[in-house]
Amino acid sequence: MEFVYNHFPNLERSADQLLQSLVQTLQMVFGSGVISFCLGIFFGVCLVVMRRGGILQNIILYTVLEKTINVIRSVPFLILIIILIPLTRLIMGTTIGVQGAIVPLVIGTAPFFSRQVETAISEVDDGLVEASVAMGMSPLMIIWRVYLRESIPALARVTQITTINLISLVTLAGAVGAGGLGDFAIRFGHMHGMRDLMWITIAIILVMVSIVQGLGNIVIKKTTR
Amino acid sequence: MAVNMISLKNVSKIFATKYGNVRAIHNVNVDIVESEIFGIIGHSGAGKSTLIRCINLLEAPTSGSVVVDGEDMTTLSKKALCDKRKKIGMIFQHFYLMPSRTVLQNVMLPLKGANMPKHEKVKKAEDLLNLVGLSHRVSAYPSALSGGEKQRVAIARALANDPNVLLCDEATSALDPQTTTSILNLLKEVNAKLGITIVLITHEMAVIKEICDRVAVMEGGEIKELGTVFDVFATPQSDVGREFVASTTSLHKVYELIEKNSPLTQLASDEILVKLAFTANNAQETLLHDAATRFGIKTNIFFGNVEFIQGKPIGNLVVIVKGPQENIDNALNYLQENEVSVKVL
Ligand SMILES: Nc1ncnc2c1ncn2[C@@H]1O[C@H](COP(=O)(O)OP(=O)(O)OP(=O)(O)O)[C@@H](O)[C@H]1O
Ligand SMILES: [Mg+2]
Repeated sequence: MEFVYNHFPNLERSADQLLQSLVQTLQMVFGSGVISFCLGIFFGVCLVVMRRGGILQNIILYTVLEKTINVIRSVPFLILIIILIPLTRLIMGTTIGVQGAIVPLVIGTAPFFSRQVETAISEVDDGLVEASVAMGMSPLMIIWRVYLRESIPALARVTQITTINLISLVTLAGAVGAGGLGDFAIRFGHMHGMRDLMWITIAIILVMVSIVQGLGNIVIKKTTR
Repeated sequence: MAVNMISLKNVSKIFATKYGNVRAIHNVNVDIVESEIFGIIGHSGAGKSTLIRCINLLEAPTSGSVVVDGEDMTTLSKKALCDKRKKIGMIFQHFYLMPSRTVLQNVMLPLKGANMPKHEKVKKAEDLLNLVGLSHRVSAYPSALSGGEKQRVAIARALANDPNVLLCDEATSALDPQTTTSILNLLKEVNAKLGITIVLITHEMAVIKEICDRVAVMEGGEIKELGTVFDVFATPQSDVGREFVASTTSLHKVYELIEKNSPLTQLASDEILVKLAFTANNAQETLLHDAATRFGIKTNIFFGNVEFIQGKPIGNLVVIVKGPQENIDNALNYLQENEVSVKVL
């Protein structure tokens, strides 16, 4: 401890704030991550099964969904946060803090993830789907037992990428009132000129990213045949 | 009394594409009898796959009716169609086993949702794997299997729901000749043991010859001829049919030689080249010998080939016949009277 405080002179004073910021960041990553994951899987699957030649082909819904995703995806995250303020207030009752950040984070992440899920699921050989239809499986069974099941490694890979992306969005949201490590780094590391706290923040984020990488790699390794 | 297991009536399929309509199947009528092995042969693009996919409605026909085991497939509800498909197994050229599942899990996959306790499903899958000779590979993953083994698993999987029909789309096209033979033997065994009706697509006449009872020859989305494999081999009626039959022997090489005016086929003025086709009842060389001695001509066999189709011999001879014109005519007439098909080349 002595050693740590010698090298990071400001840590002792700010440890509480740092811990609190970390908790906020984790809350935001988990909260919006879980919601985005579910939405992304849902819409990603929709894109695959509703496109031309899909098992639940529906060109109109597909086109609407595809265009919507593209539009949202092309809006820069900072602008997204601002235009979403009324919606965020409506849903969450506030636009600041962890609660206020969840809505823009989800809307900034889910479309991107949906596209990734679409790509991952599209890697499943059409022949497997055809064989499943011939076997008498219903579309829902095919989605569950073939599309999702057979693309677990690919889904793990895109979840990795999206989560890491999300961590960076969460940090960015800190700049506009969401709290968390981003806010901490700006306030202490930058505005108060405490460089050591800046380095610590970076180190913590690095560890988080590594954990996501590691977990993802384990899943990929265990499920690739 | 032969019962129709599959009945296609006026089946047509038109694909609408960006570049216009593609007529893949045109007005096909076929009745496939219970427990027979029915082959469909044709060149690439003839419409074989489209036709077989119309049987289990993987492809919905543009018009016509598809009756399988007494039920019109085109009128079934979605749910009923799923249930019906469980009774129609299908195997493919590229096997399509689920890579994330073991051999046993692959065979159990069609049983998911069946009203049957788990241990019975396992038992059922194990029995099927036993039938296809793979009981030692139950816990392997498909990536660890050879092509032949993969197709065996696919066959076991296709049989999981005790289907009445097994559809095979180029099931042996990705396999080497030896493995092809072993898979064909397995299909024969399955057909004999379970009485399952097999519809098999191929572009290799050898496959038809090996295993089918009847064959349909397709070209341009139409069935050009249909008959027992023996009849089609002995007396093909259509141009495609003749071409396929010729392709299984070296007979087409003889034709090539003639076309190229090879020195081998140069004839003296009193010689002619004839092709003689013998069938089951007269596939003996003595006929030719008789004709030669009786009518005073000389024969020189240029090419000969005898095949056994469905246990009966079919012989093709290309012979150089030498002698006075009149004698030759008499000899050929004599052969024709004995039901030898004669063609002067
Ligand atoms: N989904 C599709 N959309 C448009 N055209 C198609 C489609 N499927 C098949 N066709 C066309 O229908 C015709 C018949 O195709 P099919 O696949 O049935 O032939 P095949 O006899 O099975 O050939 P192969 O031996 O190459 O498998 C071809 O001209 C093909 O281009
Ligand atoms: Mg085909």
